[in-house]
Amino acid sequence: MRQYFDLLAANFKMTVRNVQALFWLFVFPLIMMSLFGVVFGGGEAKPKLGVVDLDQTKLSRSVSDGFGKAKVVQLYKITTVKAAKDRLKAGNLDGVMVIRDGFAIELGQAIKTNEAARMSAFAPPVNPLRPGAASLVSRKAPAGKAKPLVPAKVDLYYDPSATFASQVARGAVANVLGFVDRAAGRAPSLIALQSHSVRQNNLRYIDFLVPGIIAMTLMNSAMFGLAGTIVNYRERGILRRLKVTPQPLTTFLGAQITNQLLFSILRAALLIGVARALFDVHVIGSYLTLLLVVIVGSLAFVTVAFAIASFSKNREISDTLSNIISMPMMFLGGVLFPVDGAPAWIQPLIRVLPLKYLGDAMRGVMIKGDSLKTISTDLWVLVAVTVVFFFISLKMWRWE
Amino acid sequence: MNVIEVNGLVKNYGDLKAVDNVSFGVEVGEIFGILGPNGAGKTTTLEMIEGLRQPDAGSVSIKGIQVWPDPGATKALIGVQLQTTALFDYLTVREMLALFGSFYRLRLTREKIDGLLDAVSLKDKQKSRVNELSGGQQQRLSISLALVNDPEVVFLDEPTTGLDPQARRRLWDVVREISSRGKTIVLTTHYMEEAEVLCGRVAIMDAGRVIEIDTPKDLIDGLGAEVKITFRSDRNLELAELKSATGASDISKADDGYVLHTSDVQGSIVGLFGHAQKSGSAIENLSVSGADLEDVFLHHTGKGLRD
Repeated sequence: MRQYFDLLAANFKMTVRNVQALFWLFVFPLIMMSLFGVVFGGGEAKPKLGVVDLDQTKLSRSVSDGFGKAKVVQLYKITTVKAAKDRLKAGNLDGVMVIRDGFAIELGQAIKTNEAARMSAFAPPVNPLRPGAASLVSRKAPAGKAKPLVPAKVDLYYDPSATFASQVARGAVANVLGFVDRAAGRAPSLIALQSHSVRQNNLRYIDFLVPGIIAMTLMNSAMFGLAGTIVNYRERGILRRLKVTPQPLTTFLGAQITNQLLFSILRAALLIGVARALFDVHVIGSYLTLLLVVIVGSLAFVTVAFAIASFSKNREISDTLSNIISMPMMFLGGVLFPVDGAPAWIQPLIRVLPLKYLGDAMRGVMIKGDSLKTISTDLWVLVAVTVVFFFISLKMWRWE
Repeated sequence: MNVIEVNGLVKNYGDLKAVDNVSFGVEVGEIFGILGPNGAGKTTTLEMIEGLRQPDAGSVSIKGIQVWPDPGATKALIGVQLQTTALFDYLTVREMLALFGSFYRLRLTREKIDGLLDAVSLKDKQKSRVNELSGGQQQRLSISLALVNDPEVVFLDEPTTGLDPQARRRLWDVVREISSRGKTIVLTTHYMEEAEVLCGRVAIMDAGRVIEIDTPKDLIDGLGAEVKITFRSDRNLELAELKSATGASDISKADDGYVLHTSDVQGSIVGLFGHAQKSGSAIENLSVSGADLEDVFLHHTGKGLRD
């Protein structure tokens, strides 16, 4: 075991000191992601909030105008709920707020009920600190016993799994309504915000791209980094040199693979971190599931890399083979652009590309919040790839 | 006492008999050389002893332990420097030694690593990365790696090939230093002066066979009291005529001149000039010297070591 860790430490050192490898491992995918993100991603402006005012009272208008003044969202006034929802689904809006018909009356009732409760408790009447929405309704408390408080309702439609922007839109709505609430005299909520989730069909390109880039780097670092290293070690006689020591090959290769996994995880973390900082890309699903996807995907391509290394006489051959295998996957594996709409005749080819399954699993967890169960088919395909190529490389392995 | 016993080793590659019934013993503490031209089967023989290549027939034992069919048992007893310097880039000299120590389940102490560095005089390069070392330094590091497990026998496969004369001499010192520490050393070379200077005994190999095994001195003395006369000529000389004119025991045309062996120096030189005068050619760069291992090889195989 100690030999294994000694080797792993040595491998780690060698990787960190190899500036060229570091560039391809870390800098290149970052540049690629950033360039694609900036060129095709489009700058993200303020969250776009659609407001449908069905009440059409002075009060309801003042509520929706409040958002315009708040300046945290860009406000779009839309006349019908259906139109607003359609625009939300199409991704043109980040959230839709619907002020129901009768909002002003409901709010008035709520305030009256609230005041009555206060009066009966000998509470002093509340003066709003500034003229707000609440001052627009009568504050005359009706006599009689206290009625249960029914808050006025506002509906909010947004996609909880989607972008940062929709979360901001939701927060903004809650905030502004909270301000109305406070102006009306604190206490129990007078306005109930009822959230409804709507699955947005469109995702930003960058949301699509980041999981794809991570999947691609898992493939490339194995196919070019690992396969090249093994072939290089064989060409230079390092494998033979190892063979005359008591060190088992399994320990040696085990340390190589662990090193590969370690850097794959580091790289995925870095890419996600940068994507988050630059493009507001968020991981919706579980990080643990994502880690599992990274490991399973990495292992699949590690075994493919070993098969390539076993098959190749020298570095030129292994690089050529890696190119032949990885190129179709780069373009047909759904990494840089979706391939679900590709012509039917090419779909069978797409279905045999391991990168497609890795990309789908990665994307499922990252942008759809898929559970382990949802992506299990993708993972099993990758496990099958691992097993098949493990035996191929075992059969074809050569020391020299 | 023999630390290595090699008996009737055979290795065929298709129709090519790479190693053809090779037998010899290596004594404890000696420097044993295998001398021969490229393709003689030196490296293949060495690899079968090291446990890298399984022989088609014959047996090898190290300290009484059979190497084949399972070479695992003898790995800890031997240290190996392969023909290609198999080193990891991006590790320092010290780190390489420590890593190779771990391959033998050893944790090398500071002092132990210092000792290894001293043996190959790489102390001042201990913090350098492998790719910053010169060819000779890499070769010396490679030899020190063969010593990390304190082996009984050290195998050096063409340790000086590709080195400049100065680096080669430095490496000879390293080999002598290791030998003085009580290690048995088996080395291959195609430089006859290397075998002559370093080795206690030499096995001369050609075309997969061992031609002769003895100390360099006895091998050379075995040629008789012959001396070697080398010269150039401005014209092409007929070898058969030249031989009868000079009374040489053998004569051959080397790279840019002629080499003849004779036990009668005076008679041969007189004969040579007589022949030159008769044929109207000029003799240049004439030199007379004692025989060396090159001549032993030539004598047995009829060809030069570097052909």
